[in-house]
Amino acid sequence: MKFSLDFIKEFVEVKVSPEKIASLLTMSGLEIVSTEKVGSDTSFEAEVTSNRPDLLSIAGIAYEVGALLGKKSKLALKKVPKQPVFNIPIVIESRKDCPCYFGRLIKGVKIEPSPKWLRQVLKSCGIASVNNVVDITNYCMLKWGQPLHAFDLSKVEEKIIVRRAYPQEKLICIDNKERILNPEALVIADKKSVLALAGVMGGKNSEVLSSTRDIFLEAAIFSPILVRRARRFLGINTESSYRFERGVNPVYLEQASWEAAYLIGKLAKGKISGCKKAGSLPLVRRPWIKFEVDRMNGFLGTQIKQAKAGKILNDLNFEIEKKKTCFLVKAPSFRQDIKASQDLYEEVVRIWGYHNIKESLPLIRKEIRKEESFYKFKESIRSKAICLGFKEVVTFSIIPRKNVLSDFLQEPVKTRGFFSSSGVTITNPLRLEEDLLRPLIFPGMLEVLRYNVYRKERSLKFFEIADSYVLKDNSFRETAKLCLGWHSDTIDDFYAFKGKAEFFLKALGIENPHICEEENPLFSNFCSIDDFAWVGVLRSDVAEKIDLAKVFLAEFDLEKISKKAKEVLFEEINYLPWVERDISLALREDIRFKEIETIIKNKTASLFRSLEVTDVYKGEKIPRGFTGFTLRIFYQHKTKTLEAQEVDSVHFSLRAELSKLDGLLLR
Amino acid sequence: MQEKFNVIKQEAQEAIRKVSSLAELEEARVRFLGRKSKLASLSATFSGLEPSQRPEAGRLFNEVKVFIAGILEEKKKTFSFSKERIDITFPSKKTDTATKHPLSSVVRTMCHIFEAIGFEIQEGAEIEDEWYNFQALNIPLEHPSRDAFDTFYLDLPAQGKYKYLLRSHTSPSQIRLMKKRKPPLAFVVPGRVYRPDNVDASHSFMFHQVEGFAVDRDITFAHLKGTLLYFAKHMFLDEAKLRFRPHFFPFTEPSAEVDISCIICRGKGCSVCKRTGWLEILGCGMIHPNVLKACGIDSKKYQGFAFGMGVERIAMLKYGINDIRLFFENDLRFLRQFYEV
Repeated sequence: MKFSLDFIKEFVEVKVSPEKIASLLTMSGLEIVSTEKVGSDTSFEAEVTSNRPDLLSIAGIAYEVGALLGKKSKLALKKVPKQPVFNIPIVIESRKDCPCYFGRLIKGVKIEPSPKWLRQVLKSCGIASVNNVVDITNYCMLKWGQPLHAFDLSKVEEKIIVRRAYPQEKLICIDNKERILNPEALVIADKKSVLALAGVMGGKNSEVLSSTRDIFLEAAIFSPILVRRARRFLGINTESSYRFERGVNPVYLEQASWEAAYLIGKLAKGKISGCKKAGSLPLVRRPWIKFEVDRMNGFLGTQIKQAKAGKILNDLNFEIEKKKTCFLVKAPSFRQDIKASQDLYEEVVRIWGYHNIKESLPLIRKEIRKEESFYKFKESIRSKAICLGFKEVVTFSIIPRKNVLSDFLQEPVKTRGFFSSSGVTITNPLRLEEDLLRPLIFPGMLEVLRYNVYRKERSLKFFEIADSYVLKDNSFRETAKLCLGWHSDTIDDFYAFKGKAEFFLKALGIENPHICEEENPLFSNFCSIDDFAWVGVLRSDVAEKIDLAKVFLAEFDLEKISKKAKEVLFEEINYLPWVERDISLALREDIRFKEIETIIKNKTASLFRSLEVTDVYKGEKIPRGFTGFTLRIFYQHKTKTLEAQEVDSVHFSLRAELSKLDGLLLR
Repeated sequence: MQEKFNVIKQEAQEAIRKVSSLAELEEARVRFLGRKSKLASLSATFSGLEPSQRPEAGRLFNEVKVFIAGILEEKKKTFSFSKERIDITFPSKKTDTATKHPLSSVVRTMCHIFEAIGFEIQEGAEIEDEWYNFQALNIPLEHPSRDAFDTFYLDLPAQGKYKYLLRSHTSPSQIRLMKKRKPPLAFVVPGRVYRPDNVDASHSFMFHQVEGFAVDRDITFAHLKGTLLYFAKHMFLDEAKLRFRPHFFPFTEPSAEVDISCIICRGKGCSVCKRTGWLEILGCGMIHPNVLKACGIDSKKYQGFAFGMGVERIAMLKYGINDIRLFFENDLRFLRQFYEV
């Protein structure tokens, strides 16, 4: 809303500078975003919040300025003289859509440019001058906040009808654009055709032009919701729709209409010749609200005097009735936003000044109990992932249906969930197809790996903690997940990745989880860990397709994990010396390490402490189809120092046992 | 025997005198005192001596050993270690460490500041319905006040008349907590939120907020101001000032928008604060009685404040980041500039 300081000055005496006015208004809730000199006048541009339609009028702003300067605006309602009723029928189809429609006739006008003063006021208020009649309707809208519309009476066929548009009905608006309407839109029509889009814009067919002689002046109240829908549907925002959408003050309707008619009569030399009202003005409820200054001070933490509060409310044009212990306060008709005592507190304190409220810290009372916080659990997961060497990333929860993996999945949305689930989609996405709430986190992870690989980074370790969303039995589940992603040039790093995943679970006190290897269309290796996680090696053709080398991924369901996690307790240290023995062997590729491990553990039994692979090689000395490696086995007794002979005998029998295994060569 | 010890003594004295580096000194130590030294092999012959001669031999052995150890120690002290010096101007090995994403560390810092004065940290879900996201927060359907909250709707069967959506602010969590717990209440709620905004340097369709609220019998606007000032001083600078401008939010009354004195120019006026000296950082107010009512809290007995702020905005101000997209690109050259773990 742009407004002129001179216009305000007609109603309230202003002795301070325009800058001071701008700052006072900004600090009391009407934010002035720009100030501009227009001749001797000043034009302010204000951002009006949606609860204050009254500030879309000079009348409303004048009360604000007055209260801020400690005086009351002199704006007064004039008595509207009685007029004969004209005989053009006005028909309102639905009172819900339009409770009241008020028409006036002004005949024999002379359409001319507006006088200089009028043009100047409009200019300062950011409205272009058209001709005297249109300018007067705009002037009165600015002053009272009530949009008005002037029709060329000669173009109105027989009657005025306020009705819903017919399907596919067309209207060329005064901006020369044709609009196709639907029954959601409220229109003003005559017997034949649509004349205007109610509360939004007039039609070309009934526009006031230099040839116009007789004026039909409209002042009405239209349903804010219908105006809102129409302007959203048609994509036009006008001074008029802006005000109707926020609600106009019924009390000012006849005032604005009369003042416009009077000015048209005066400036365009027309004859005011009758009026007619269809429907009735909506009742303006102005209840008495109890205002207790102590309660206000207790609410705000202030010490505002009762007299001061009374003066502010009075300057804002509130009616006050003093009672023994409180005020009864009635808001002015243009302040329909005032409903309860809190609203009055705000009125007083915003004029009194928020800056006058002294800061203090609340003493927050707390129950004595443990505060369980999932946020804190996630923070502990975050630290663990960082300790394991993964850098945190944040990626979007909304992903395109067609993403890095779509080529590998028949029906991306459905088969992506290897947990036999599908994704939740957005009905109004920003971009078509970018509408999937990710059921898994790793597609975002792959994007991050790829982004950085394109920037010449090869060795990457990332994690993300975010929610995933899956559809399940006609309902949905939103779950926090941890996703680990590792990019490397060598498959051997998988074992380092595996080590970190194991360490992660160990740190959470989760021991011996059930690991199950599975087939998966995206992964060459894939296994689930209980029901709370999976780990996988991305298939090389999938990785290549997206320009990646080796990719290891894992996802953990943090809600399930939080239920399993327990504190890890201290375990007594075994200070007894241990003995190590190496075994060099070669294993045929179809034999899995697990088999040897079982033998080792069985054979060494209580002396077994741990084992470690010290080196792996494939080469000339190793037969084809075999992998050579050296195993170091650590022996330790629980209660006594081990003798070399004891270890040797166990180790020897272990070697003997291993040598019996087909596909294993001792070297 | 005495003779042999003297030879060793002299030999050692001579050799150690010539030593010119710590490495050579170590060699000398091994040569004269080590397991394979002449001294050691000499001591191995003691068992062949007459028992009466053994004590004397032992005494001599010790004397020589102590003597050699002494001159080795003396020699060590004479070194200036100059030759041990390395070129410390040689390029260092690159260190890269795992870190938190800057948004996570800013969220943690923010939450911990409030936690220190009694707020509890909780989270809420991102999929919400219209009742929690709008209705309970006193935001009517089809009202201009909803324009600020354009929302992603979800293809899920509605709960009664309320459609599912992605929360457009963290305030639904305020409703859930107020419904679940009884006053006194004091919570901060961090989380992701979504609005269909086209992405540019200062907009993203996904971003983060921290919501905070306190409800008790005597929580006032003055407490709101104090709490936020405490936050601003800890988050930014002790000399930070706040400016509360009256504003409108459907869920608070009175409401305010809050500006912080520009942390770049310290209020003098610069391009970041558009010469005003102030930067808008959050919205807040006293919780609207309708909101308390929707949560089953008696607004005659209880009152409270609420605030909400954008984490990206705070992070951008804190670190001087000028483009919101950097947070979601995850470029290592960006991530490596943050050191919080």
